[in-house]
Amino acid sequence: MSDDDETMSETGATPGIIYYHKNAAFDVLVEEDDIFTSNFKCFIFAGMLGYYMGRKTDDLDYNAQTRWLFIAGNNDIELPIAAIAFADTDDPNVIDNPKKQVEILRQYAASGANILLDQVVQKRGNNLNNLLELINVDRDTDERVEESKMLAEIDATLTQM
Amino acid sequence: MIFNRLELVNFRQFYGHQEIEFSAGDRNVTVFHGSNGSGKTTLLNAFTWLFYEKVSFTQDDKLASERALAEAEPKDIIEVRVTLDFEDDDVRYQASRSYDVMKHNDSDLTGFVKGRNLVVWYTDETGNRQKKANPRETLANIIPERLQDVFFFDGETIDQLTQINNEEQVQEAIESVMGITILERAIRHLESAAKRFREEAADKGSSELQDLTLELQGLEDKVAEDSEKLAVVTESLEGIEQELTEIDDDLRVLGAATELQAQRDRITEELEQAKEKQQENLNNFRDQISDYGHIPFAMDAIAKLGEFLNDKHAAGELESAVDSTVIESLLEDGRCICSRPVDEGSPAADQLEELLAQNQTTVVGTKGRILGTYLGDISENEQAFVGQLTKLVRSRKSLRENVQTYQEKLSDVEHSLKKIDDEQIVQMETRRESLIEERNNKLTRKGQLQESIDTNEPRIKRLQNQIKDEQRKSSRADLAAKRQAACEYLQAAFETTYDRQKNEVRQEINAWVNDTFQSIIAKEFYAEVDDDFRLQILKDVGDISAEEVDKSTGERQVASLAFIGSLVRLAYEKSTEDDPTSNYRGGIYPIVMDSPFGSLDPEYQRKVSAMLPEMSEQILVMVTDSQWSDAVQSELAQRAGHQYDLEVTNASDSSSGYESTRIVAEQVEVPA
Repeated sequence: MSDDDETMSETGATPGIIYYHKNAAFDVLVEEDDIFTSNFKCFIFAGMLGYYMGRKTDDLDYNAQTRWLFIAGNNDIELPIAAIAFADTDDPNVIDNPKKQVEILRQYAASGANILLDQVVQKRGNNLNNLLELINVDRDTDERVEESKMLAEIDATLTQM
Repeated sequence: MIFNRLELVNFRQFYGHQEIEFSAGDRNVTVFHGSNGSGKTTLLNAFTWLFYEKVSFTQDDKLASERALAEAEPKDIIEVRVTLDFEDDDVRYQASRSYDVMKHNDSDLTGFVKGRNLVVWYTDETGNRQKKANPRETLANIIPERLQDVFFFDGETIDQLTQINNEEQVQEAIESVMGITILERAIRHLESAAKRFREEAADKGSSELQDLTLELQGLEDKVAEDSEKLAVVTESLEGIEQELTEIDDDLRVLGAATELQAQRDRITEELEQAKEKQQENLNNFRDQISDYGHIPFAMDAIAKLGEFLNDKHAAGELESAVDSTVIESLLEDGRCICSRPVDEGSPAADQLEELLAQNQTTVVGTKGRILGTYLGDISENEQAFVGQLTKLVRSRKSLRENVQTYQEKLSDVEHSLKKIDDEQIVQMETRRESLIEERNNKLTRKGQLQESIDTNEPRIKRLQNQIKDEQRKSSRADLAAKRQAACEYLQAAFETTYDRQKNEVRQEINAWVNDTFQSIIAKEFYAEVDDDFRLQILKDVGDISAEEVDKSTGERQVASLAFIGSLVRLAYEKSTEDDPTSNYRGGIYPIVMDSPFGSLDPEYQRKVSAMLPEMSEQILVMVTDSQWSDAVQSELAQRAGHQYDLEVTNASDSSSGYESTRIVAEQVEVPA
């Protein structure tokens, strides 16, 4: 069965099953350390991490699966996925194309999973500490406040009909 | 089975030789009453010791009467014995278990077991008295050990049957009374036959099949071996926990250690609370990271998307949040979503037309606007996440320090206990320390074994499927494979039958459980053993039927009693069925119960007392003086054929200076 078949739902508009790369970092961070509530959450984290680090790959086994229905309607996940897909392609059409977004996400997530393995699980020290070190993204507080204000204003503008 | 007479010789506080006659027939209740510590639980233990050589005393090596040991000379042998005369299936038996306990020295009040003996006599059809060649097996056949919790029970803990996770205990009780041993044996035999045919199929099959089968055997052996080891480690851990509890109990009352042990209890509780908070902190980390941890990495991309959407909105190139097809259908129907009319030319219709026109010239679709309306929220969530994480990191550090402080305090207490000038305390503390080390090692081992089993079980499943595929390909192995499949099919069929029968029994006893329960509990509750074999107390709430309710200990106790009564009734009814094909064990069983009125109010006490004589052919009840209330007495006295008072001779009144209990027969009421 082709990859396309698997990732398309019956309507053909949204992905159904999403295949992704799952490495040993998932077993440790989800099953053993209980740092993530599920493999799905770890996959999303890995995707955003891969994007942030500017690393993506399509050269790995897609050996695990999840479903689009876990993403659809969860704005805390759906918006970042659309945003990194737009940042990656600069194509406005991608905003309305979940299938393309998923394709980009899983490429970033494959690299992100390897970053988790390398910089969290295999690195010396406590895994939670190592992960917190990664999350502590070096962003200026003032810059973050400004950005937040800007996003709130855009939000308010777009909310008006 | 009916008990006739019990003889106790130097068994715990029952000093010397004492006898009890049991009631049966119309007056089938035998009552024992006495104060706390008078020996009621010891009487219950006399039965379990006789049948299974098991007791539930804190110090289970102290079986001999302290008074008898105190009166003996060093090297003297004290006889400790329990003898029971009973009838089962129209045969009269006498079972007798005894220990020869030797006194070591003047201060020895425990003694050393020099000899153990179990003998069972029976009277054959010609009236001759014969000795059973295998007494242990004889007793195990009459009341199997797994039935002991059902028929010899402590009323104060019986409510456990209705606790959460009780299904295993309830199911086992039902299986025990069902005694469907033929089916159980068949299932086991079929399992081993299937294994044999699989090996045969492998021998005759391809080399690949042989390799797979060998690998499967290796893994199955490994899982079986690990499971056995796991059971041993688990049992051993239970033993360690028990011994640790006993040591702590002893230290609480040993003069010089009392204060330090109290400190340790307090610190241990504080340590547990600190660990719970630590776990809560970790859970919060997990929830925050799982739900929001990815957002900071995407904020730059989100900001970029936000700016793009804003530009497109300003240029009128962003589709409205309402899809064009929806607007078209509203205009066509002439009716808004809220049902108000949208007449042509009306302001509402004009607005919709405007939106439609706008949508037709856009670059970014509806999804863009919908996502755009979440930009402010996601930004707030990101900031809240960063703030939460900072707080959690800070509290994590202080929680870790707290745990460490309590651990250090505990270590100080342990050190102080070992410095007390009392050899017994030092020995207990040293033993405690080594037990804790042993417990830690065993917990690690338990984790390793469980992990190994959890890893290998899915591999076994995968290999079994691979082997089945391979077998299908090999014609030489075909026959053996078919036989194996037949065995597996039969095994599954028997398992289904077994489960079905168990379920039928569950349904059969359910009506009795509820009848008994409702005859005692006045409220609108009902009791049942549900599909998952959980003994529950339920209530209809509104339209929802059978909602589980919070229960008092008393109500749980009643439900448990009703359940046990139903099991006894089931066993009795099965014994009267004249069906040679029946798989059921059946039989008449007496019930021996210690403190069945523990948590009941007077009204429930009265009703339970009225029900007890109906629960079994023979009832032995042990009650405290306070439980022997007017309510209980008024019901039970008229059904009691024998009553005994457990009279304690205080240490100060005894010539030897040691407490003992005398079983004194009381006058029973004779019906008019």
